[in-house]
Amino acid sequence: MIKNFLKNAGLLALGCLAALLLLEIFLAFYPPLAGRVRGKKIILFPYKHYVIENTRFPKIERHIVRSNNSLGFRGPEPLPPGKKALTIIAVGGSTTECFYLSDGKSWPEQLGKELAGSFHPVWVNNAGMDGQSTFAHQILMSDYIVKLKPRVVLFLTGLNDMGLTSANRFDSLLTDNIGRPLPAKLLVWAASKSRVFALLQNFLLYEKAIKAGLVHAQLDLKTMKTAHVSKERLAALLKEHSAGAKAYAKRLEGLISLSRANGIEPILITQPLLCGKGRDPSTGANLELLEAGPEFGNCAAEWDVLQLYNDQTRELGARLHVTVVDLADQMPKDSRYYYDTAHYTAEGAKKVADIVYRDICRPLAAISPATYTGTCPGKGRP
Amino acid sequence: MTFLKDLFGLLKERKKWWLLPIILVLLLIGVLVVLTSTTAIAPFIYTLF
Repeated sequence: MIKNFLKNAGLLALGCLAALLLLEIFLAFYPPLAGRVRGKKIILFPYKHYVIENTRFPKIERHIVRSNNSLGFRGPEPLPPGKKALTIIAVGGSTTECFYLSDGKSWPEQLGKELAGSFHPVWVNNAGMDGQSTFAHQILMSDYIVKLKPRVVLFLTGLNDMGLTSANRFDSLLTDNIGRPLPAKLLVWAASKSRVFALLQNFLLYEKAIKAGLVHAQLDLKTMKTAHVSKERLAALLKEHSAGAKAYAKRLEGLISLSRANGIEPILITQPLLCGKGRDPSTGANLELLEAGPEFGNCAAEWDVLQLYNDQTRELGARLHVTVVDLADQMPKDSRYYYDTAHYTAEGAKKVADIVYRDICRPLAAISPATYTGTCPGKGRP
Repeated sequence: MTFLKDLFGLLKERKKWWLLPIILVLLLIGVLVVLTSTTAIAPFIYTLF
């Protein structure tokens, strides 16, 4: 009887192995989800082309065409090598990638068009990727961007770092082995070796993004529920996030050092949100009281927490003499620029591009005087 | 549904349980092909990292 059981168990194990192999071969030839993380690596998808018939977000176009270039980024192909040009790559999460905006409409691409009037030649690419935090930016910089040697990198950061409550929990996912539970260690190791486990890892990271309330959503501000957050709860939230904000600042400082060590000038951009004091001019909704999920309670609390992270960006910029575009401060809190509280409509992306262009044109002229054609907005020499 | 029932019956009758993981994977592959042939799956690339 034992012999029979062992034989059956062995056959079942063989069956499982054959199934795993079958799935592995299938995923090698047909990667279905374009999963962007594999183990501790970021995977880019050169020439990836999406045509999306959008039925979820009425505020953005119905037929979305979204393509990657040969680098796996959004925007024009790289310029021929050796050509002296102002080269810029925008790095960030979903608010940089603008996944649901068609080609040419994401803010870095629109910024490229605006900069073309002031610099020649100029090349701007969008390396934003949904869900990426400053930790992923470090990997993206080291593995890809540093090798491309752009003159400038724009970092729009904060939101995806904020979603991860404590510095320790987040950092434990980042470092190799310290503090990470054994199953997570095994999964990351297996994902680096196997496409099946990489698919599983991407699903888990997607689940994490949902829990943090970061994925794209269409919000109707008029019908959204409202919520009150007590002073005590807000104080507790701010206290809880102060460690996370400090850890974020440390990573951002690392990105600045890494950029400068490789001859790349960083420019920081603070993260706006359709939350905070006042009313939305388009719908009249109270932007303070809008419900904002179980972690924050309401929109005002979420904004106050995000400002902790934005303050770190501002402080770092001042301390390390890095240009900071205070987009969080300048972006109008108007729902015509957003399809949820964080992601921009095409009009919103244009507004972001306008603000960034106005604030970085002169610093860029100082960084790349040979390409400057003398048409930055405002007065005075760059 | 009847097909799946018959298939399950066959595995039970012939005691070929080792085929079950392979059949499940083939089903999963079918589901993945159908789902990803449309664009509804696109948002799943949002991976917090």
